[in-house]
Amino acid sequence: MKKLVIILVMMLAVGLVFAGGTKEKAKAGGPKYKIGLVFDIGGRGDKSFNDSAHAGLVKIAKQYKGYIKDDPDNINFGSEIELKYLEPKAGGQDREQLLRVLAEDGYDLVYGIGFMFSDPLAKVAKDFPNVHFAIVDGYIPDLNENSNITCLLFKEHEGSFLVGAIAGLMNDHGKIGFIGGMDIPLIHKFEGGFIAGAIYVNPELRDESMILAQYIGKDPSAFKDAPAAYNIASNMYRQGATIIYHAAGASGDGLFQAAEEFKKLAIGVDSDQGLIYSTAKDAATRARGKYILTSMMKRVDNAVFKTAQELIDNGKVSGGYHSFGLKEDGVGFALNDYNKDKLAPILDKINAIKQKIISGEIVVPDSDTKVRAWAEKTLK
Amino acid sequence: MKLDRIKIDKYRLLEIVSPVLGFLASLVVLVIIVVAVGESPVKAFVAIYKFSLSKSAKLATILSMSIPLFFAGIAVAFAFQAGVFNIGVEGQYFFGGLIGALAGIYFHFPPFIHIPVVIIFSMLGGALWALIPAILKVTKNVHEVISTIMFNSIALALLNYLVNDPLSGLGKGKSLEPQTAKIQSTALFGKINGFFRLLGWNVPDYVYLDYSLIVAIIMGIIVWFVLFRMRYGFEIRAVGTSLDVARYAGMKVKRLQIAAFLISGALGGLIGLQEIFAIRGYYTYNIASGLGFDGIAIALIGRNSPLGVVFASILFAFLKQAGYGLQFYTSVPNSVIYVITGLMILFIVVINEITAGYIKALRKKEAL
Repeated sequence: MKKLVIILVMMLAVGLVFAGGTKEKAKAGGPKYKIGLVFDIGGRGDKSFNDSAHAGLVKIAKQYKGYIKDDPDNINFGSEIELKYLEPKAGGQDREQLLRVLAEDGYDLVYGIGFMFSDPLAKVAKDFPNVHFAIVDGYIPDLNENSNITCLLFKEHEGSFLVGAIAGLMNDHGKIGFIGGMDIPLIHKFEGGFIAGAIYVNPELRDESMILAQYIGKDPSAFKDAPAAYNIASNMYRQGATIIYHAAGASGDGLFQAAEEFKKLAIGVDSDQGLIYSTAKDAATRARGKYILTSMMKRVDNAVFKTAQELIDNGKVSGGYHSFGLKEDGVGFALNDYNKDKLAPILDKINAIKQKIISGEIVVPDSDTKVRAWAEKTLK
Repeated sequence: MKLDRIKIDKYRLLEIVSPVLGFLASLVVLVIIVVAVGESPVKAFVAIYKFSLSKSAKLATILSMSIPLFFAGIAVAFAFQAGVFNIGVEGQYFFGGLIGALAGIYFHFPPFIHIPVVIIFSMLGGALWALIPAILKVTKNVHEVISTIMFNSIALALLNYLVNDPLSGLGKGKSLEPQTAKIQSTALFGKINGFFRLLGWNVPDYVYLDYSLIVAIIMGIIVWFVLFRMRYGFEIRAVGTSLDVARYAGMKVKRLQIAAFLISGALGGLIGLQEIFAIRGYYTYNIASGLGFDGIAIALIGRNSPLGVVFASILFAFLKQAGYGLQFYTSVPNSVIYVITGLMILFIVVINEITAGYIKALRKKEAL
């Protein structure tokens, strides 16, 4: 009996915590557009990829006077646009089902976040020719302008080129390093761009021995293996690296730990990791923030926002493949209150390079295997 | 004589009623939490109704979702019947699925041979993955809970490696999801939705009512027949009830336990049939995880009987759908929905077990 009481009290306590966030919001007179989004399993709250997609929804709500239905943070700027997100559980057909219920319920644009949505999204899109679907990081073959699917892909190599250039300019006669997570073509895009950027600005680094690169592993656990990243990073710093860039997801924490110990620099990935670490609650994490020079940002929020913008402004989204590079503000480097002083001396140079990439003067190689040929052509 | 029979039937009834009691109690939990979160319980029930019983499409989805859960439940239940606690169904499911998929990718047969072949290979794969823990248990007395959990991790690591390296069928620049080559069209499971429509049940085409449903029905009947109508099944159940009595009665206990373990693994190997052969058409280690563990709760609720597992797996699929209904139509946060469905399962299992113990005590009293 006593235990039962305790359980009940705990439930009520949990309830009270959540009760504050849920109030009536929707008004009469339906929204102009309804936009739905499906995260992947456990996606919301990852402080990276999926939360960036959520930030995109918030941006849509702000810009076009919309609201996010049933969001605990109570995001409500008007009733013009209805936004709704769902999250599947593990199951063979669950992603497909959630995409389908959104389409059935009259949503005009439905997003799938992550490559795992490729198959389900293609299947559902066939059944709903009047609903537009968009997938982040997924590749669905044989699409064209008139398809009702848009693949939102990123030019990670362009953003990596910029942070590579930053590393090359900040490097004090040492080596630079790259740590990849899982050894897949996607991550080699990061490596290729990074090396190209570094050797573009710094002739010292053009000798092959000046660049250290290593991958953590061949399976997805490589993206959450911080101890492995710590070991690799420590080795690289001992070999004389001064700056290391990682494209290894949650493993990156190991790199930042090593950077703090060796008092050397690191570059983050996907979101503004320097800002996240520097503003963290616990002191140990905050201390690491100081060693994060910048981050290569993958702006999922911009991709999500721009696709919705197309729908709301033109009434229709063009199908096919939309690439988000520097030009589209889909990738970039992080500049925040914590690193702006450090980057100030080289900022003009970096922005000049950025303009060259946007104008097409520099074509960034999209894999490390293409860097050599690129260097022979571009650098004399 | 006659009186006795009636009494026994009364207890049977109680046995059947107890999960219902558990379900009702779990609904109370649902209401309490929903109210605490500040949402209306009526809205919650409407949401659940809309996602479960409102349309034949939703009902069919529940049936479809229950297929892998049924295999998981019956795999665990079979081992339970022999007193073996097979926590390794998860690993057996992953490994069995891979072996079945390989048979689907690399063999060339006409469909009526190829489909049975991939089913058999899936079972063989599952059984193979159960073999070492089974041998360790009976020869070296290594507890199966420990060894099978370790084998789950080994299976996952092995599959990660295999799918990424030697068996990768990923074209460059194509999907980013690591996967094997495509399974031959002759091994893919077709849908039987048309059959249900003939029977007057209006099931839309997109719901996955595929051959795996037929396999599930056949396997359910076979398992029931083996367990309750064959001498062999009687021996397995005897081992599960009391090892010493079974040994005293001259049964080959070790052999029976190994056999039960392997059959359990073989049944576990079938969990992936639907996802691999009907939904995806290739193998990846991203297939639904956690089903092997759901199987434990399903076997508990279903009291290790094939028919009980049928109901329990449908209940599980219903709860999953209910969760989506809450997510879609109410403002209950997703994390709270996980808590709700988890607690509902817990309540059903616990109340079920309590009444089971109570009935057992009553029976004993009666017998004295």
